Amino acid sequence: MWGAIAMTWHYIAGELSLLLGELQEVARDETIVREISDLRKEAETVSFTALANIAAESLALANDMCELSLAVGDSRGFTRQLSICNELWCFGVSAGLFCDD
Amino acid sequence: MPTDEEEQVSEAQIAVHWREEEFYYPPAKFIGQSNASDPAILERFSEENFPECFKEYADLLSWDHYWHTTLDTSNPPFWKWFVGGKLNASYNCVDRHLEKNRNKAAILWAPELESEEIKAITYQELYEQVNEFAVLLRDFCGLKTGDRVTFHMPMVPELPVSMLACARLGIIHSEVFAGFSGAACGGRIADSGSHILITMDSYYRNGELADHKVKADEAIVTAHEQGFDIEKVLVWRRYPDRYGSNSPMVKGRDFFVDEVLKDYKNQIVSPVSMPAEAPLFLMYTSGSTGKPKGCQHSTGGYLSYVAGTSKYYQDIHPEDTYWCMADIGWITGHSYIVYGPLALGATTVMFEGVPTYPDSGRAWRIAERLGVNIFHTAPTTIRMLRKLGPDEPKKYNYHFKHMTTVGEPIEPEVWRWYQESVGKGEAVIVDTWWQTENGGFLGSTLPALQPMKPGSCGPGVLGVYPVIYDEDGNEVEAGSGRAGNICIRNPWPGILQTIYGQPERFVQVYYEKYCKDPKSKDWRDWPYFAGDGAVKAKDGYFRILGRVDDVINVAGHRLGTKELESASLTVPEIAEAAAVPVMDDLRGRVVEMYVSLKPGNKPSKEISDKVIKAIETEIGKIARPKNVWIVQDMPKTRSGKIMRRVIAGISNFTDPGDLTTLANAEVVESIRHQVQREKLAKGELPRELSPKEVEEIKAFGHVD
Repeated sequence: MWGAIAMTWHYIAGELSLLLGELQEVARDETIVREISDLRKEAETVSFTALANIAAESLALANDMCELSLAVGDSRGFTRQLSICNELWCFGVSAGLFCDD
Repeated sequence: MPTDEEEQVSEAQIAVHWREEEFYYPPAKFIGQSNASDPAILERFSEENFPECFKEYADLLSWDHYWHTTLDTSNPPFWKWFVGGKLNASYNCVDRHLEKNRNKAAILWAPELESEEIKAITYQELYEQVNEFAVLLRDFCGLKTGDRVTFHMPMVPELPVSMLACARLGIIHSEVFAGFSGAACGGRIADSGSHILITMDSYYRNGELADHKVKADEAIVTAHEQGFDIEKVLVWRRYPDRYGSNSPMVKGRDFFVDEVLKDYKNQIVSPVSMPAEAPLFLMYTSGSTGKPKGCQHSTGGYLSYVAGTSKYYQDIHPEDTYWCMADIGWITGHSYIVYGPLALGATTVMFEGVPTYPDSGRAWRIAERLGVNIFHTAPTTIRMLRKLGPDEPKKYNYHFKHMTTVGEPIEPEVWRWYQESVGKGEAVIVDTWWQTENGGFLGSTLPALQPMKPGSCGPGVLGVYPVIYDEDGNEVEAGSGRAGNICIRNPWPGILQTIYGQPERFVQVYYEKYCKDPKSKDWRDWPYFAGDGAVKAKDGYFRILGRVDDVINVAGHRLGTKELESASLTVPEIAEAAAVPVMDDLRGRVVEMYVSLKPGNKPSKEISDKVIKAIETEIGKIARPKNVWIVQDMPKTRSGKIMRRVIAGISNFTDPGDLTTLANAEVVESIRHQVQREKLAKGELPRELSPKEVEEIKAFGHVD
C-alpha cells in the first residue's frame, strides 16, 4: 500500500479539525461534544485513508445536531449547524473525502 | 512473493485510470521575462554536476562565511549541506533588502473582513518589528540560540514577524496550524521541548471572530500531562488594547505582546551568524502511531533550496506581487509565503480568512485589488472555488502570469478550468509534487522550458533525480504504464535533517526500505523513500497517484477498506478480515465483510454482531456492513495476499476472474456456495450489473 500525498493530507486533516472545532462550539449535547472531540483528535493523528471515515462521521453528527436543534425549536443553533454542515460537505467533496454524486 | 504476472496486472490496472494528456506550451510573453529561459540551466543541474550545481541556489543568499564542503555524506543519511558556511535567515529575508527596497511592501495582509484596511508592511517596518520582537524573546523570555519555541498562530502578519525574530537569534520555531486543537498543539510543545508558546487571542474565520487563546490553555494542560511545562504564553492581539478571547489571562504566565513590546521599542539586535546546518524550524506531521514527527529543517540548505525554487519554478522577480493562498501552518506557507519570496525580496500576500467568504469572488477581488501576478494554491481549494463560483474569475480585472498548484494530483478538467478561467488563458501553470519533509518542490516543470501536462507534476526539478521502484527495489521503466514507489536517488539541500529527537525513526521511515548498503557512505546507496505511488511516462513526466487504499463509496461516503478491516480485527476472535463493495440500488454500494476466525473459535451470530459493533464504534454507523461472512479461509495468492476481487465477485454474483494465481483456489467454490446460498435464502437476489460495475468489481483490490 502506498502512503498518502503527505502535504495535502496535513492540510485536509487540519481543515477537518478546524471544522470539527467549529461544530464543537455549537454543540449543545455533552455526548455529542465528546464525540466531536474524539473525532477531532483522530483527524489530527490518524492516517490519510481514515480521514474520509472521520468526515463521514462528522457529517452524520452534524446532521444529528441539526435535527436536535429543530426538535427543540432552536432556529439560531440550527442555522449555524447547517452552515457548518454545508461547509463540511463542500470541503469534503472538494478534498475527495465524499463523492459528489 | 507475488508473481510477475500478478504484479503487472495490478499495476496496469492502476495506470489505466490515467489518460495521457496533451502538452500546453507557455506564452512567448512569459518566456521572455522568465528567470529560467535558457536551456543551459538543465545541463548545469545535471547529475554529472551534482552536488556542486546547488551552489547556484546558495549564491542567491548572503553568506557571512562561505562553505568549504557542498555536501558532506560522512554520516548517511544525515546529509549536511554547505558545511562551514554561516548565514542568518532573518538577515537574508529582511536586512539585506533595506538598501534598495526599504519602502517596498514585504507583506500585504488582507484581513478577512473586507471592511477592514489591507495592511502593507514595508521591508523597513518588517525589520523594525522583527528586531523588537527578537529583543523581547531574548530579554523578556530569556531565549537563546538553539532553544525551541512553539507558535499556534493564525494567518496574521505577526506570524512571519515571530518566525523571523526567532531566526534572527537562531531559535528554532515550530508553528502548529491554528485550526488544530489545543491538545494537538500541546503534544507538539512537549515533543519539541518548548518553554514558550506564542499565540493569538482571536482571528476571523467565516465572518466571525474565533476565540483562539482558549486553545493555549488546553495546549498547556496537554503538554503538562506529557511531562512538559510552559513558562510563558505570549499573546498577540488581533486588535491591540482589545482582548478578543473569553479565556482568562493567567498572571505571571500569560502576557499581551503589544504591552510587553512597549519596553523594546526601536531596539535592534544583530542577527546571529548561524552554521548552515543549524536547524531553522520544526514542522510537525501527523503520525499514525499517535506520536507526531517533527521534521527538522536546516538554515543554509533549506533557505538556499526555497530561494532557488522560488526563483526558477515560481518565477518570482523582486517586482512581482506573489500570493500563495495557503496557510503558514503548513510547509507550503513556510517555504512559499515566508522564506522563499522574502529571501528574493518580493512582495508576499497573506490572507486571514477563507477564500469563499463572504462569497466565492473574494479571492479574485484580492488579486485585483493588490495586483497579484503570481498565484499559488492547492487542488482542493481550486475545486472548491470552481464548484462555488465557476464564472467568478472573469468578473475581476486581474492578470496572472504564473499559477501553481501544489500537493496532490489535479484532475485534467479541473486543471483546464484553472488554466482557462482563473488564468484567463494567459498564465503558465506549475504543478508541483513535494512533501513536508522535502522543504521545497521535488517534481515540477520549469515554466518557460518544459511544457505543462494536465495531471502530471512534470519531471524531477533541477538537481533532483527521481526514480520509481517496485516493492523489490527494481526500477520501473518509464512508459511501461506500471506504477511503483517514487523515490529520490540523491540528497538535495531542502531535505529534512532528521525527525526531531527520533533519528532512528528518520532512517527507518525514509531510507531503510531501499537502502542498498547500510554501511555505505555513498549517497547513491541511499535513495529517499517518499511514500507516494507514481507512474512515469515515456517523456519523463511523473503522475503522482493519490489513491492509497481501496475505497468503498457508500451513499457518497468514501470508506477506506483498511479501516473497515482494522476495525474488524479488534474483535479478539477474528484472524483475518476483508471488506468488499456490493452494488446496491439505494445506497450505490454497501459493505460486506469477510472474516476468518482464529483457531479454537466457531462461527456464530455473536461473532458477526461483534464485528458489526466494532465497525460502528471505530468508524461509524454509516460503515455498518450489510453482511458479515465468516469463512473457513480467504482466497489468497502464494504470497499470502487476500484476493479481494474474488470475494467481491462472489458477493456480487459475478465472475470472480482468473483463479490461477491463487494458492488455495479450492476455497472459492466453498465460499461461493456458502455466501450465495445464504443470500438467496435471505431474498438478496442478484441483479444484472452494468459493464462499468462489472469492471469496478474486477478491479477491486488492485492496490494490494
